[in-house]
Amino acid sequence: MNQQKSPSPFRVFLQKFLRQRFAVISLGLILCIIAVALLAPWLAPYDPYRPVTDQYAAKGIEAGRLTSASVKVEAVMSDGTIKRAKELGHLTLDSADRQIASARKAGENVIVNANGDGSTAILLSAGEAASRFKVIVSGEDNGQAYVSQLIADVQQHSLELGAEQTAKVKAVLTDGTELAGMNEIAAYVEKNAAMPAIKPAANDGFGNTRVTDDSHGLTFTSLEPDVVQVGSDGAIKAVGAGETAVKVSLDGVSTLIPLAVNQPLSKPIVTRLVPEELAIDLINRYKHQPPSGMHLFGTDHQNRDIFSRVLVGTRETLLIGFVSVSIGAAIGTFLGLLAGYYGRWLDALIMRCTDVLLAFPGILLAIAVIALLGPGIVNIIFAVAVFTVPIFIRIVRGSTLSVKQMTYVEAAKSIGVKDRVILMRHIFPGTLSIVMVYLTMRIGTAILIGASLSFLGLGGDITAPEWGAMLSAAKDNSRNLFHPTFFPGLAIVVTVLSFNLLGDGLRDALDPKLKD
Amino acid sequence: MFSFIVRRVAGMIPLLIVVSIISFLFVHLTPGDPIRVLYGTEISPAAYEMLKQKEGLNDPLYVQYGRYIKKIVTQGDFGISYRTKSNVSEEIVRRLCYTLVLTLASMLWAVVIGLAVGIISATKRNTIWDRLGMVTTITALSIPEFWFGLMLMQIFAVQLGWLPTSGSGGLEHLILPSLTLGLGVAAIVARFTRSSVLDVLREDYVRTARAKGQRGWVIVMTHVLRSALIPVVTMTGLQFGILLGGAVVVEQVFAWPGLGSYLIDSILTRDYPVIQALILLFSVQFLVVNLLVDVSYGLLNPQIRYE
Repeated sequence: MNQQKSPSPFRVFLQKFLRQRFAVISLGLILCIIAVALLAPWLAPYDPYRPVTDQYAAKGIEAGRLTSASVKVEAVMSDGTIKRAKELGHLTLDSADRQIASARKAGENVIVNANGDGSTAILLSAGEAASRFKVIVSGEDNGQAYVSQLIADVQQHSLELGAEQTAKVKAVLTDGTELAGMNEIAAYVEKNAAMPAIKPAANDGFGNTRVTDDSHGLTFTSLEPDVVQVGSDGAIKAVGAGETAVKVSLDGVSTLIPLAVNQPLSKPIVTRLVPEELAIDLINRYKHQPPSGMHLFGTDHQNRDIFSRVLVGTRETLLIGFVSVSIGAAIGTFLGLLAGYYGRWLDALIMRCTDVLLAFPGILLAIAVIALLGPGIVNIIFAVAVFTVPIFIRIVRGSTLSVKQMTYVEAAKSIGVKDRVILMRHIFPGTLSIVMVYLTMRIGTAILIGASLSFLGLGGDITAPEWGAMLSAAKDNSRNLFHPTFFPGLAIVVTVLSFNLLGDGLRDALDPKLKD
Repeated sequence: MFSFIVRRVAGMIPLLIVVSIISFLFVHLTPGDPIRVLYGTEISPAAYEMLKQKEGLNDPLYVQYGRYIKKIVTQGDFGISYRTKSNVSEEIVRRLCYTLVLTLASMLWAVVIGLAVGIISATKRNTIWDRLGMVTTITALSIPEFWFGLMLMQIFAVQLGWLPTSGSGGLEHLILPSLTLGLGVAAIVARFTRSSVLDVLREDYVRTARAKGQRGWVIVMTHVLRSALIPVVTMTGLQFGILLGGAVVVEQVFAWPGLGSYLIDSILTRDYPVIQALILLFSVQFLVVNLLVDVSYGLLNPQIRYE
């Protein structure tokens, strides 16, 4: 019964603490983070210091599948049958920008390889028919839709001499939109007039220089003007006996309309090429891979695995937090005890020094220390420690002043206990609870300040896997990307938030005013 | 009141002297020879001695300190930058305005957001809004400013393209940096406002007003805020220092041409005369603002009497 009435202070604290759900969760998180920090070298899937590309071979990962894709190409013949690319024989491939992607034939398929970031288009051509598909590397879509295919048809393929008809044209864009009829195509051409036409390199050595400037708009060409004549509006007129075709082209893409005058069509010709997909997404494996199963957080500008770097960075970040706050708290507590207990000139001296330290607002005190000592990780720890000292002096001094009034201190004094012993045995334990609370909260702040300092480039080694330095590098090298900045920052937020919530919980649990 | 101000200012003077000594020592404690840096390393020993004499570097430190302070006080002269060889004061004057605009705009965000969240949390105590507000504020306090800035930049400038990514110019350039800088202080103001309003809500006169049948928001607006906001004003003023410190980081993120980015550039290039001047300037600004806040607290709060 007696125990029920006055449980031990520790048990009261534990009860109060366990009731705070957030604080308990945070404590669990902090323990996890500490475990990660200790085990990081074994947990990290990749070496955080080297590009992942060099590490694929050792890990037995086939890197090729990321950076290339195979696209099936089919040819639509004039008689409606479909042929495989293999049977065409003379399929040529041309990339608008080889710096971004290139393509080659491999059996039935076309293999596209990513070479750099960006988006480009690859032109397929077989004879007079040509189609195009878009390649987006590393998600850097330029948002432009290119003309992919043209579909042209006439009512009759076999004409009488002198017969007239008009071709119907439909265009398919790489984003899947269809432009039906001349008017829509004309509107598209006009809208995109400002865009440079996608042309294959003027002379690529393969004689594939069919595309000229004037082919930006829709054009009709008769392959044999003696047999069939065609106007710029698609009006076809049979003028002589024979077999030919009308070529319709737009922006490098072309299709054929087979026509025969006074005779049936003899053999089917290729009218149109159809790539399996209109646009394909590839990843450039040499830098900035987006998050994927292989790289949970993606890779950075030097193609290092961000997930591994975040894991390994935990160690350095926690080290800055723990070491600097421990040093700062130890010095601050010591000076605070002295100032509070002895009072008079010692108190005045210590407090004036504190005032001087507090005269530099916020992070500026730490920055000033770095300015004196020069950049470097050890100096960051020292700077954050200096930043922590005045706060501890103030709170410990205040706490000491109130504990000093206690009767048991007076009693100890009156029986002649030495000052040193009173300080250590009777006063310091009394200030311990508030020191614990501030210690926890200050670790969060110290991590923030440390990360800010290394973000500012004051941490010395900017290539180190440290969260602040990673963010600094991401800001300079990966401006337009989300993942290199997001994940290291999230790691900071989770860590600091855990310490802050734990500190809040401890404060509430240790606060004697707060009743259950 | 007057004697309080006099005493407060007088108390600040020794602090100012110590701070100025510390900043003065920056050039003298740090590696690098000012003469060699300013006039090149290839000057002859004779010329070196002559220049050293001319610059007064052979004098004892206290004489040099006296001259340094005299120059600052009488001419506003902070010396010559090692890097650009130009006058530090001119550069400071050019950049001071940017930092002040940024700090004040952040303060505006902080006050508007902080008060709104704080008042709502307090009046709707223990509801989902209160919880949400408090969770948001503690999260905001745990977010590194520079990361928040980078995320805002990523969303509003890079992805949506609504605002410029960095640099200075029109009002649109100010929105993201000031919001970034204001976040932490907004969270502090919100938490403080909440507890202050909660304290006042417990007062008897609020109960009386409620008993009288006055509407809830009228009570909050007329009775509660009047006294609840006095400590909030003081506390907000004291956050000015945090904003000044934070400005150093945020200016670096958004390439804002203020004093903060000047300081970091100078530290990275070891331009000690500039570092010296800026450290002194930042802490003097901070001390003066704190003094003004202390004085205004007395003016705002009729309960305080300075004996």
